[in-house]
Amino acid sequence: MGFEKRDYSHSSVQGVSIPVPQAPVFSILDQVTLSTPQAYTWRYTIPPDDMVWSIVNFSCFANNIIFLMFQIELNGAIIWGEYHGYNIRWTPGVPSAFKVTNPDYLDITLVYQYATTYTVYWQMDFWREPYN
Amino acid sequence: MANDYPDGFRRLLPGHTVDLESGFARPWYMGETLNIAAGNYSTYTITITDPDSIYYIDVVNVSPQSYTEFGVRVFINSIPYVAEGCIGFAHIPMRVNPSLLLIYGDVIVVEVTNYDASLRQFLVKVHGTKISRPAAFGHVPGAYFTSLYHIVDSLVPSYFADGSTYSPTSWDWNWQDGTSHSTSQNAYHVYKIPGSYYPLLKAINAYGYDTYAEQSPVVCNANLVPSIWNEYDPNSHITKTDTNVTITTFPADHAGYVNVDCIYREIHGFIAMFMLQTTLMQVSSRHCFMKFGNTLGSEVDETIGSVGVEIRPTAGHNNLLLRAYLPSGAIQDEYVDIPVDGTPLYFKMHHPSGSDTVSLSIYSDVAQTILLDILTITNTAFKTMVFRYVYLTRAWGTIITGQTTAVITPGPFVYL
Repeated sequence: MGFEKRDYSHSSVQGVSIPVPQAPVFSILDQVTLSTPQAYTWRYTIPPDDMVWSIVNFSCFANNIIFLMFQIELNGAIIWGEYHGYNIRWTPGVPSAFKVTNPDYLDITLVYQYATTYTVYWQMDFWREPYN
Repeated sequence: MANDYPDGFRRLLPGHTVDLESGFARPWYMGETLNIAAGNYSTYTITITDPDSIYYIDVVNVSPQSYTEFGVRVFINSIPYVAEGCIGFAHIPMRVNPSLLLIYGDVIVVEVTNYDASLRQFLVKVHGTKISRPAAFGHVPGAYFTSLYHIVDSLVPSYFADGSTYSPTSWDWNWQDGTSHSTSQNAYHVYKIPGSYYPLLKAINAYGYDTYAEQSPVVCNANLVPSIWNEYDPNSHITKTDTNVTITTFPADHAGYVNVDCIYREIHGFIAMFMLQTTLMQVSSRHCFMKFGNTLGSEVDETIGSVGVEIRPTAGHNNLLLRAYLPSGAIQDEYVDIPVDGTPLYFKMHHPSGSDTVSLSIYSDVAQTILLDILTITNTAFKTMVFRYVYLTRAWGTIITGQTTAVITPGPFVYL
């Protein structure tokens, strides 16, 4: 197998043709409007779709610049967390991504620290490819 | 730059290769200035109209005219890809290894929300590289569907609406219950065995395939639910609760009945258990208190066939019939010692799928341990008969006295 044709500095040594990997953009997402400090968790279980899902991107924002604390657990183990007011983004990319499949589950926890009403939005994007 | 995706790629992409040529990757960018009022949002949309190139997306930049706070979301063909809160500027690297790519007809939308208290100007730019698009290169479908119902009764059809993207040309629905796959774009399926199922859709086109399963299963229950039963009850003798249906019919009130519309259920086999209480009825009156048929309307007008249990009084006592109405005529078996003082009897009517026999076991106790008799009727038509409606009691005839009460609870229904 070859490489995606982005690295043209290597093109002279990679043969005459390369496959072009692609997969549809696939996201899970949600939003919540909160008014009191609390921890709010979403659980997502990977469905039995015969696919391996690579977590390639997680990002979030609110309807204003506020500090957000997000934590992601995979099957109960913390795999990522961040506390910041802006530019909260996790982009591990496919080669270094956590790969999940059914019945793995993800817990996405927002720690909300305000007594003011804001809406917080998050999304997680996957690269999905067949299991076998 | 490191090699992209050095471990190779396992997705099926028959024939999808790109010829390597020196200097094949060319930079591209597009941009626009958005003026956004305080608290509002605006979007910058790029629709790819170049049929000859593959456009990779590297970075999305959003630069306000001055230091301010704002939010950015990026959508790829209407699917959200990234969302960020930003201060001062936004530099959003997009996915690599493998990268996001756009071809003719694809759309990327950058949505900017101005958090500031005054109108702000934002310069939005999308950067990337592009290569020549090989002949016959296109998007693999993005499989997707929605289920109309996630909780169904056995033999009730579940409907599924295809929502796949990138124009699949064929569909393969794996119902995960061992039955044949469907190939319709939008499909329905009848689960016969209770359980939880995750239907799997494979959407296919010339460039490959994608599969999709919902996170929530389709849960198939074993039981009919009385609340979905239809009643015709001009004399108010029918009582439906969450757990059962009770019908008390008097011969003089022969118009009442309850039915379950089993539309599309394709019932070929079933077990139904129920209870009957009856008092003596006058000669020539007759009650049908449980019947499976295949047309709706008067239960005596089945055009293809039906099978059911009836009471027909003769002098001094009531007879119980297991009777089938077939185009070739009626067949029946009879039990003559049915009590007429209201003592309940309990029944199990059984028709194995593909069998030519329907049987009715008669018990004197609710636990069904004291067997009084077994009635059977046999006809080759039962092998292929399709039952679509379940009726509960109705009476007709020249009638004055007598009473029949049927109590049907949903639990005992099992379709085979």
